[in-house]
Amino acid sequence: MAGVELKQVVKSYDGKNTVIQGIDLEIRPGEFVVFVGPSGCGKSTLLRMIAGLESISGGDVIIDGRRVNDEPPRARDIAMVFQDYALYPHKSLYDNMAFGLRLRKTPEDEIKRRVLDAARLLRIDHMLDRKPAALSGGQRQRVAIGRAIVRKPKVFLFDEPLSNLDAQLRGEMRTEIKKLHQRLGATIIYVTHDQVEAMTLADRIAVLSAGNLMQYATPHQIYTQPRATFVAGFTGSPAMNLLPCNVQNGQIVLGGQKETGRNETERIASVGLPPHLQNSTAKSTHEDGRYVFGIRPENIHLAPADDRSALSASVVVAEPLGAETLVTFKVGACEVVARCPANFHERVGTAMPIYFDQQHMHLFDTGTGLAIR
Amino acid sequence: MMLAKPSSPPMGIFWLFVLPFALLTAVFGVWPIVLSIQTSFTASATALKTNPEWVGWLNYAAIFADPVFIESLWRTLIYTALAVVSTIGFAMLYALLLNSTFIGKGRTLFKLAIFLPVVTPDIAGYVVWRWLYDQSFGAINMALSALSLPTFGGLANMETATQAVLIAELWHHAGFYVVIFLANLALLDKGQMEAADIDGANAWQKFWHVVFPQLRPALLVNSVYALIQYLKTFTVVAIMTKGGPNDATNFISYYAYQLFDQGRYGEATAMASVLFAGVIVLAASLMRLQKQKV
Repeated sequence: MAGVELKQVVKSYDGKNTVIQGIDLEIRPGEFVVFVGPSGCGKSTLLRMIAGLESISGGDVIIDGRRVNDEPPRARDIAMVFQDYALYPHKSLYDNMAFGLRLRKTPEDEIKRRVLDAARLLRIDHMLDRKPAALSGGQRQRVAIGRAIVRKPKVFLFDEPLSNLDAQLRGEMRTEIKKLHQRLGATIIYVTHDQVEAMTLADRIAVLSAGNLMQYATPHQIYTQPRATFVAGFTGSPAMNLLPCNVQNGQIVLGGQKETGRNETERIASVGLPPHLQNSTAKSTHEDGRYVFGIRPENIHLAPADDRSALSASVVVAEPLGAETLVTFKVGACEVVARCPANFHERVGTAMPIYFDQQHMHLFDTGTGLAIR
Repeated sequence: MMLAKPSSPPMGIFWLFVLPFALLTAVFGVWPIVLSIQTSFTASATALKTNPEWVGWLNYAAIFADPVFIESLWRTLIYTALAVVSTIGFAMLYALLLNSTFIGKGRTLFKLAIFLPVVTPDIAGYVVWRWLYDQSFGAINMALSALSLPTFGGLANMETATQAVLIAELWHHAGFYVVIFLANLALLDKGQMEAADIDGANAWQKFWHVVFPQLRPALLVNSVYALIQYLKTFTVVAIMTKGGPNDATNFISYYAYQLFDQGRYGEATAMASVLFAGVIVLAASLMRLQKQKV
């Protein structure tokens, strides 16, 4: 078990195309950290730089207190699980798992003990003499994980290990990996584009966008206090509602339109500025009062019919999911998605009052996308 | 709802496409072999007549009693073994080099250099090699002399003639085998190399434990093809050495051709049939061996 530290890590190709823009990150020993972000955000590149499979253009990668920038992968004492498994097709499962240990001249009885232990843990001990081609995707991924476990490395690296599996298997393997971490207590760095995987597995999540670290925090913090619109829009399913707005006279006017006359007021919806945002908006340099307003679907509620302070909304579309129903409402000129009870049966076009939970309202800077706090 | 049965194309169409090629193969491929085998059981004097005289296994008995043939057979087998091993080894190393990052932008040049000889007509290539090996004004010995190195006997020397022929043949054929190896290498998963890097393998261990075992398909195809090619070695001998010096490069194909030239059709075709049987048996055994191992 070892910690990993990234100090101003930069990756650029030909000195021009910079894909990692100076990232600082500290991963504690035994911590499960997930790098998450959309395709092309640099998460896999960053992982491969830690592994030693990509060179480092700038900054330092430190594993267990030792700078490893110029060391080849084999000297870094890491193990990696690849997206496409990368098993050796001509070797049996046993030999696939034993290969790394044999290269390190581990005694054969020790190899046998470790391989059998790992195989039992991953429930593949009955098929150790088979070749990878005879296995299903899920079984192959178990072997790939087994190959990493037997080595007892300082750090485990997972590069989108579940993205080649079907939805059900992905869910099962996710749970397995979580259990494995709890059991082994190993340091794990895990790359995924799936925010559900990130939220369920991680002790801390690093959200990346275009080679920049957008936020590095616990899943709860990422979800409840997103540092930027990118993070807010990337986490949660469905994601946070993000609407242009104006803050005027203690009111958040949704749709970003100023009141221009009596005829317009019907299209305008506004909510009171919550206390936790009053100070910061007062201090803000945005004189025109333009912001991005954010609210998560579960923080939008149906209001009693006689609630005068509620917003008037109409149903645009309802998507029953079984345990709940996702309802898109039109509020003024904007549309928001709300998480409603499963017994929501109102028809499209029905007018109904809703309200936003004040405590969970977010405002973001229009230009930088950063949260106003 | 009734689903329409997918209709299979009429057999007439199948035969229309297959028949021309089946006929061509039968007439120009199988028939000459059958005729040749038939001729090997006839007396040479009457072999080309309408009613040849049948002599049973007499021609076979004659060739196996001929010390020149036995020597030639051994020579052919040893040459084939040497040539197959050196061609496959060289082609594999060359393909690995082309597949690696060492040569960078020179890759196209290296590819061209190895593949151009394959598309060069044999005769043109071997004539140039004969000139290169020439003892009086050949470029090879001129270069060696200029570097104050001992000269190469080339085609003039019994000891070196086989090597000289082998080098020329290797130059001419290696490109083909390189292409097969390259195709096999292109199929390998790059991720496995990275996994081996992480597992702690150095360059040699990666080759030996990960790459080489997966080159088996190319090794098999190339071995069978090279075996057939070198057992039949003829053109290079006919152009460069005429079987000499002192029979040093007199391989079976060329010896059979010499007998054929002398009108000894029965013995010549008996030798060709022995060679044919040998090629079939060796190639089939290799294929079988490979299947068992997979």
